Amino acid sequence: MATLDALLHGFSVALTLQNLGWALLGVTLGTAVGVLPGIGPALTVALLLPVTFDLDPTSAFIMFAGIYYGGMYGGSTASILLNTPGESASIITALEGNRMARSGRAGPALATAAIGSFVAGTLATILLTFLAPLVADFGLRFGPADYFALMVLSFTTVSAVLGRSLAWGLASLLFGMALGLVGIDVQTGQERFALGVPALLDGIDVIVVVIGLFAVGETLYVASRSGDPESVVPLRGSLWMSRSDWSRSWKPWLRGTALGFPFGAMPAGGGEIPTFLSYAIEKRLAVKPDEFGKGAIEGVAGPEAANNAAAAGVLVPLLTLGLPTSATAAVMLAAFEQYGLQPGPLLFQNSGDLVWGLIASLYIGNVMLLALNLPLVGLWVRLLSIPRPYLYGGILTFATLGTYSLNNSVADLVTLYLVGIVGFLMRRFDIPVAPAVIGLILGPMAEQQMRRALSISEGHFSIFVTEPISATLFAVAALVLVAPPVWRRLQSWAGRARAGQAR
Amino acid sequence: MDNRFLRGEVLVAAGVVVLGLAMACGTLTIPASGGYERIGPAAYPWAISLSLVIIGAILVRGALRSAAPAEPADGGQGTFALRPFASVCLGLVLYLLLIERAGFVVASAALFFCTAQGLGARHWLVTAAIAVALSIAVYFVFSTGLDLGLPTGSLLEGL
Repeated sequence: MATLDALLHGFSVALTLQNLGWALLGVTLGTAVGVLPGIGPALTVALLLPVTFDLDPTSAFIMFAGIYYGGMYGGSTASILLNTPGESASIITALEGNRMARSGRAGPALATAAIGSFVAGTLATILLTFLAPLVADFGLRFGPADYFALMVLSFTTVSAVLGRSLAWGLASLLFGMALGLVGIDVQTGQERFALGVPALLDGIDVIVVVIGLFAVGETLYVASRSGDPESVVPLRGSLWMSRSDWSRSWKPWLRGTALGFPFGAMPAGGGEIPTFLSYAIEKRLAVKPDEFGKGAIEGVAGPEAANNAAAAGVLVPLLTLGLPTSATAAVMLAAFEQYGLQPGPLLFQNSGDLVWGLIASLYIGNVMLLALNLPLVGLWVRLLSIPRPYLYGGILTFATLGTYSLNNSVADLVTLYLVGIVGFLMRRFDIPVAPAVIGLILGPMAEQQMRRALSISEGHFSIFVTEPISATLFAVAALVLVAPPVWRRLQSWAGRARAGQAR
Repeated sequence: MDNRFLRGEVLVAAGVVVLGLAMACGTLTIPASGGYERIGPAAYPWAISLSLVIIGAILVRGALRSAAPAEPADGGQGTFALRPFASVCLGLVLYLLLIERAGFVVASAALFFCTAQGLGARHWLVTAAIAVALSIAVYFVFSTGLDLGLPTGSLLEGL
């Protein structure tokens, strides 16, 4: 019951006129940037961080959470009507959703995505409400060695899950960790990799890296590929779902939620895997499997629900353990740091207003988003008709402005461009960007936890295997790294053996 | 599959190795004295730089061997449009050079103009008008509304 009391208190925080205003602003912005190609929730929160510095942290996080949830809703609209998914988790939605739109069923596709997102988002937020305090309680038992092990686990899963191969994922992660090393070592005051540049002594700002990777890298990529055809499917016909659309949608919504939430809540790299799994399962369970690939509504309903449920799940490790598993979550962790807050078990005890106000605002945000996205979808569709040249011109204008205004320094701009070039290369060679962002933020924390653990054990590395929680987490991390290649090899052996028998 | 894309992938993978080696050189200059923890501020950088070299080597090997590499994100054929790309780069460089000399409005308008024209905006006069209008609007919103001290530049100082 303590949880319900806390949640009720959260609603009393979130339902003030002021905070409702911030939530509405957040979900509106979030939907807009979700719909627009080239700009997503991670970049938006990063750009807003400097200007929200004077804001009350609770209000700021209510707005950020609105942007986070709104980006998911907007992303589905873009992938259904445009077929160029902004984020990897929307790829599947584009697959069936865009086909539906092309055959004149854009309305039902948008409706099942929005309602599915609402159902999944709300159910997953309920799960988050009850799971988070439990995890936070458990987290109180974590020592430095356990935290270090947990971070290593999330490094490995994030690298393994995102992108086309583990090695590229690790390279991206290590690049981020390398950037995180620049500056003064907190524990000894030793300067590292500052190359004699005074501006680098404070370290490389997370905001600059996120803007560089996402805004500059993306714009350069789009420029390098101009001439690619792109067409917006016009919105025709009724938005309403028929009776058969409803009966084909509700089960995928629930199955998607059941898949998405656990994947998000485990430090396992967000929404990519559950959306793929949901698609595969819906295809297998469908009454008319041959409709898949031609615009099956189940293929929109399930993955969209999975995507949103995973997004809510990601907040569990973020709030309770301070562990981000997606790019947006990593930027939100940077936001916590800006306000001098440390997400983790103690956040629930020390900043109850903020945590529960934030969680309550997620319920409110979902209702707002349903209202914003169904009746007003026509408005968002109009955003898609902004000419691309002006859109990207605007993105770069705000990206450079956001970077320069951080410290009014040209050095930050140089960093921005260099990171932007790396971001361009990553985009061109299909290397995932999220591990780099996570490595940059989590890398320095992991180092601190490791050294804290080692100073407890007086330099003995055995502490990482004698502590039970840490040992378990390291074992799981090793499994994530080793299991897939071994499994593949076993399968090919089995395949060869079978082929031998057949002969 | 385009050969250029393959070669590019090898180069990027080699870049990972180079980054690791460069970091290792930088780590050599960090004194490795530790307190109670027995490892100093150099241990973690060592771990990262060596991992970069190893992962980079694996990637180089993989990229050299792969006969059919993954397609780039959008399933394209590794095409590269040089002029739009160069135009965006030009805008970025101009911004860097102009921001403190000519002020925010000029720098920002130049960046917007180069980016939008590079990406294929139709009428350069329209683009220029939007660039100037947007930059001025942003300047006033941010410097008066949000109190960010953006450089005014000598051109607009008189206004």
